[in-house]
Amino acid sequence: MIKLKIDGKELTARPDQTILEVARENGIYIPTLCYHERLSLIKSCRLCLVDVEGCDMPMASCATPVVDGMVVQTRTERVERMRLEALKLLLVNHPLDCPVCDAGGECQLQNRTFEFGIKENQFPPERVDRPSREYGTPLIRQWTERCVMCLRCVHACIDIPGADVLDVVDHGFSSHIEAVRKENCISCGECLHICPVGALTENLSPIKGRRWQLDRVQTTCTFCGCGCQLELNSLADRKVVKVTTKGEAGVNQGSLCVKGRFGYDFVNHPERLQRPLVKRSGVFVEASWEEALALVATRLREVKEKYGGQGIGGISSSRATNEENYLFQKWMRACIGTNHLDNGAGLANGSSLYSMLASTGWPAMTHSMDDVAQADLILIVGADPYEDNLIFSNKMRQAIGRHDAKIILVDPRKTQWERWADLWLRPLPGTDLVWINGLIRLLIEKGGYSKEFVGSKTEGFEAMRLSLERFSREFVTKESGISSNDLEKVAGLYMAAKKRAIVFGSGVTQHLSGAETVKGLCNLALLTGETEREGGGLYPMLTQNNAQGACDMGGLPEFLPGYERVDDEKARRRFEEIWEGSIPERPGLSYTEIFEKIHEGKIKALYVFGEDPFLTLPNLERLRNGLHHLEFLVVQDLFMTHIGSYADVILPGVSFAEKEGTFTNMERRVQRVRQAISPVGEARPDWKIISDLSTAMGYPMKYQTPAEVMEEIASLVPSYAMMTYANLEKGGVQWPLENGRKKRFLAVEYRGAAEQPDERYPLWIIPRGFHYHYGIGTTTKRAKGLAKVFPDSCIEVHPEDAKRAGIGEGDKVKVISPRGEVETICRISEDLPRGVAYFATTFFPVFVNNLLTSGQDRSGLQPEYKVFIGRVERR
Amino acid sequence: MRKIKTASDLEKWRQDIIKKQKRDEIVVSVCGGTGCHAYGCKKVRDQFAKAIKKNGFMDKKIRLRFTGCRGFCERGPIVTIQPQGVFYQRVQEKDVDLIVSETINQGKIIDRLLYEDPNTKRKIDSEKEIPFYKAQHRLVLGKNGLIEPTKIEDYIGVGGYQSLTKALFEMKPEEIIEEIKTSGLRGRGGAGFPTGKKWEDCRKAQGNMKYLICNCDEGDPGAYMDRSLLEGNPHSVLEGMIIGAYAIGGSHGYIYVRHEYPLACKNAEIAIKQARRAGLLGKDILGSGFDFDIEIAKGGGAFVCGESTALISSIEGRVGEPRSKQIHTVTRGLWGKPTNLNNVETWANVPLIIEKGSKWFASIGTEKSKGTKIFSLVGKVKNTGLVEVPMGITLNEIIFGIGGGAKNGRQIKAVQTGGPSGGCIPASLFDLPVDFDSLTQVGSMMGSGGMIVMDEGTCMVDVAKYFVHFLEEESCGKCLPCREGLKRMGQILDGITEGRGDEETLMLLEDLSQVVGDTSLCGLGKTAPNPVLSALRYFRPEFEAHIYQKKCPAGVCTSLIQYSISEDCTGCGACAKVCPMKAIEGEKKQIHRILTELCSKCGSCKDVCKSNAVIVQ
Repeated sequence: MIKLKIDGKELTARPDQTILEVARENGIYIPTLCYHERLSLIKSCRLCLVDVEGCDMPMASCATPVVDGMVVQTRTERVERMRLEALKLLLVNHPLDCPVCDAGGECQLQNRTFEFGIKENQFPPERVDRPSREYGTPLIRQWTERCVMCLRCVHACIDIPGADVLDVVDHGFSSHIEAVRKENCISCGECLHICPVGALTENLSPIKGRRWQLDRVQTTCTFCGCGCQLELNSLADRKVVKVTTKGEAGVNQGSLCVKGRFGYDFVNHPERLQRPLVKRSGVFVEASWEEALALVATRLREVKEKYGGQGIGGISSSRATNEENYLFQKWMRACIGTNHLDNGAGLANGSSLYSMLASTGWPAMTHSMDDVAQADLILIVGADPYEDNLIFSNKMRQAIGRHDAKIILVDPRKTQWERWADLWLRPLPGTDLVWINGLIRLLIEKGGYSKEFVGSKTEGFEAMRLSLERFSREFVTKESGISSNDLEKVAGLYMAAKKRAIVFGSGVTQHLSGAETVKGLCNLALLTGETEREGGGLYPMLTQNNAQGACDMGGLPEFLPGYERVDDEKARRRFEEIWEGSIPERPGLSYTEIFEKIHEGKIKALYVFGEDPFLTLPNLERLRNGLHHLEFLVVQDLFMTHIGSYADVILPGVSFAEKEGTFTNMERRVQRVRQAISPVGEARPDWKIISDLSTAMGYPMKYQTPAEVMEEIASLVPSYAMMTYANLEKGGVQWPLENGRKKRFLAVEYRGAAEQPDERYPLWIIPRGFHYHYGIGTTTKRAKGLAKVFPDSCIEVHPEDAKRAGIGEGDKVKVISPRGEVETICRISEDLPRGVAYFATTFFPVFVNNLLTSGQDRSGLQPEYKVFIGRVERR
Repeated sequence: MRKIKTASDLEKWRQDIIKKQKRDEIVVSVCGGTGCHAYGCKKVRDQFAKAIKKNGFMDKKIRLRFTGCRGFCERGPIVTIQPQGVFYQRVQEKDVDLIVSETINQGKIIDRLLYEDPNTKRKIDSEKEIPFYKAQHRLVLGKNGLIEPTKIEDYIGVGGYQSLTKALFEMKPEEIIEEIKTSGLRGRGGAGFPTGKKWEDCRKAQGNMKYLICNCDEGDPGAYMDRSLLEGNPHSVLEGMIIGAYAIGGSHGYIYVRHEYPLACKNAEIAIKQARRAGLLGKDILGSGFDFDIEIAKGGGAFVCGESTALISSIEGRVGEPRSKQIHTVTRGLWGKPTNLNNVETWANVPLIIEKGSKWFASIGTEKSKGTKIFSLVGKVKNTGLVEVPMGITLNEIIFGIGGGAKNGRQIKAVQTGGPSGGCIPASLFDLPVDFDSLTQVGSMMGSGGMIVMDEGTCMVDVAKYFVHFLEEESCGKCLPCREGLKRMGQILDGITEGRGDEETLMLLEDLSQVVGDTSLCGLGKTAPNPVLSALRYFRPEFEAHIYQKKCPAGVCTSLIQYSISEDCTGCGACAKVCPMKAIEGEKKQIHRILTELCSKCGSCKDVCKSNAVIVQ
């Protein structure tokens, strides 16, 4: 520890701290404009200068490390005068348009001017006309003349997401910030968030409010699995007009991606369902809640009486809250008497959940998101965190900065992370398991595994090892296209590292062989104990905001809340006792199986909550035909969906902005969702709809608030024992990873792809998500801001493939697979390997699911989302 | 060229070269520096080549050499002929045949082409006797006249790469660093940081990849010593860098040259290629097992890129802006790796120290500033050009001894040293020894070695204004005080020179200067107020004259002066003819008159008046 004196106060500090940090920690105020704790030092504003005894010149406190015995004065006449002069210089040409500036009321320049009590300036005000140029994104407006050139935005853009869009152009007094590399911009708004004045403002909402007119409610983002904390700014309890972030809150520490920051206006979209709809003579008519609820309760009861509870299926929503998912499955199980329920996360991430549960015993990320910043090697497989989980990508970047982490990227497509990768492998689509097994075999041969950990903490190693017999280097090269040299390099980097993080995403999980591939990755992680506290971690990237929570809450056919199996009698009895109802003892049907059984006429009524299977399941025609067998279909959603148009009753739920609850993010962190505005129209919170339905069906649910639901969850599910709203008030809480059991190596089996390109269908086509949209696009396609930047889907084709097909950049094309065809636009991209095309799509309004093969993996969970064969033709 | 694999091979090569060169009886050296190029030296050289070929010179072996800059640029193109040691200046293409027939063939000296001492009017035929050269100590620049920069053989012939073999095979890296440390060599880029200490820190820095940078981003107006060195003797810079790399453990080097120096870029590039081919750069240098290579990085010519961190940004392909130096570049510089940056002149000193020893080097100069320093002497003196002098020599010796004193019989008023952010030193302090510390003491600095001599016709307010505007232009704009402060300082100075100053103006100017100097981020801003502060310190009455009397004593600031014609006018009409504004009227042989309202104060009339009748007030 170091002892020093600041303004006469005796203080202690760590040697790695700067004067500014120590001062702030101890409540001593030093003014700043450019300093930001998350950015590398900028030192441009010179306001934080302090006098240090023994130094002639004042020192920049943001950059001066503390030294033992240092004596610092923060308010000498000299430094105060210098700060004042500097500020005055800024004010000479800063337009005093504060009354119409968005930053008015929370502008750092305004605050500093007030602090220093500047009333006059010896230099006459000067208007500097700067040419206005297009900014990196249409979602942000740049006011060059308001800029104080603190350069925070430039640093933020490089330091945090690594986009590197902005730079200083020109020099001297003419210098200004410009988006010089617009093509790199991902509209994340880091610059907007970090601008201390009004030089960057949101260019989206037509309605603006002054800082003090807006209500700010801190809540959890509704898009990806990162679970960012954000503040919904609302006007008069009716309309969300802006999203802001607080620096210190949540995993995101103030950062967001474009969806979180600019995707909010779907909430007030005119197409929102505002009243229940009931179909009469084939036409939807508006109905009162009483009428609609009574109808649903009656019809479901009739079906149950006729066919038993097993004749009813339910799809729950991985975008709804924990409380709602809990109530939904409780209602399905204890009231209706069926285990035929699943949620969207089962489709998108099911394979990682089940395989990780089998291997590590935890159906979740083995570490916290922050831990990835401690790794010294990151293996990225089939994931594009930069596009899909930006906040996690930011944390991964910290590992490079802090630990010089080596990056191995495995992806056929050149993603942004290729820029930062030390090694980039491009396996043939669908062959990840081959090289993973090859790598494990190689590591075992080279002794690159922890014998001690494997011996004492795991089981099944021998069986796994034997199952790798065929994965010789030659086989790997032949099957996956990865050369033995590259595999050696991976092994070399892997063995040289100490903390190896494995990041994988939908490129692994959403394959037919997804579950097997995840097992392979688990095996790899177990070799060196990366799953343990001191290890690097295994990080599945979850696509939905509450994918983790929906599964935790038992929104799965075989699991009760807390992953207790329904066929485990003891567990079931415990729930039956508290729920005062009986639960069917056999595991139910999965998402895809439910629709199979509808087709077979075994499921007669279906309740779909916040999902649109018509956009997520393959083979639309078959799905549609199947619906004829249904006697009753209820859809509960925000918007009219594709399956919704076939429903008998539609119940309008509410968005995350209009209700209370919790989401669990992909690092198992349970976080509060708080109501910002009143429900749109007559829409009702989903938990309320489910409770009322259950009550109407004779199984009373008398919860007054979601908090009460959470109390029940906490009492039933050990991992959620701490999750009362009182505990969550201060911030999210992670559910703990505790189980005494040994980790398991799992023997894995590799089967080749379901189909191979041929003459008629010469391309592998891989659907991919992208930064600006999310899931099937129900919400993001309705967000004006997002649609503005990226309105259409497109197919990316390698130049040579395009030449062969006679198509060019921007052409309208048809994408044809053996199942069907869809129309889109062609983009030529050299980022892809030859023979592979990427379909950047949110499904809506392009029915890409129509092109997918209808094969499923053996466990019946996972459709093949990530690859099919096809061709591209000019329209 | 052969690839050299051992030190003895190099020695053998050297002996071969010397033997071959000895066969040449006469060596004609034409200066090929950028200055002489402007005077047309290329044509002179080509003419020589033609003449030599035409004449055949059956019995004499003549060698034509196109050398680097000789420093006396004002007198270019310069031609010397060995072994007589004849020094011809201002040689034109048409003079060549005469030189060949008279001097080369018959050994006769052509009087007209000799240098005439303006003070004694004596013609001088040998370089050593010319006052401009006489007082110099040309350790670093000296070889420029002896070699052709694009021929590695020339450099090896004069003992080049000898120091490298010594360093590689007779010394340990630590010993080299110790040698540099005891020599007392300080960075020639301006700040004067001890070179050995920097090397030591970089050697100690963690990391297996280390970079070396040679800073040739010479941006001071009028300074060109780095250019002349890199142009005229690129191998000496390379040799210094290779020795440095071996001492530090560097693996890759960059020479950062501004693109306005095309000849320096070209010659350095050729030298690198030659050194690579000869095995002096690249893998396993001279069979020592040491690998090192150098490449050229071209800069866009921003003044601020001479600052080390801005320069590093520029090499990395980013905007050249200074960065925080909280972590020194020796620990984390280029691409985040330990980086040792030195100036061209510093690198060029290294082989000398290794060759002749630190004791010898330390014997030259003053207690704290060792060795020699190259200055570019320009302005209102008779002899201008590059001068290399031992540290500690007085300003008087440079300005009056080497420079020959004022032109046109005027009084010398001050000298501005250290480039645009240096300061003005008044003539009363010309006894000052020139070294790092004394210059700083009087409010100026060594800088990269610019020396602009000013006489009574120079307005000090105008000088301050010029430099502030220069720096305002060249500020990168990153930090607030430099960006905004220089703009306002420029505004204030504009006001003073235009007669808009009042009592508070000087106070405000001083305050602002202090804020900019004390609070700016990098050296550019920190030193930017120097010209203003030093001018205020030594020439305050001039400022006051502008403010209170609304007069410019030197007659420079156009808003404050008026032209008129005195009774000395002979009525020749030359002024009226030259006046662009048609502001002069008068009958032939009658006294002319200037119409003040039309006059643009360009001064053309004063320049053409033979009877000194145009008066400035």
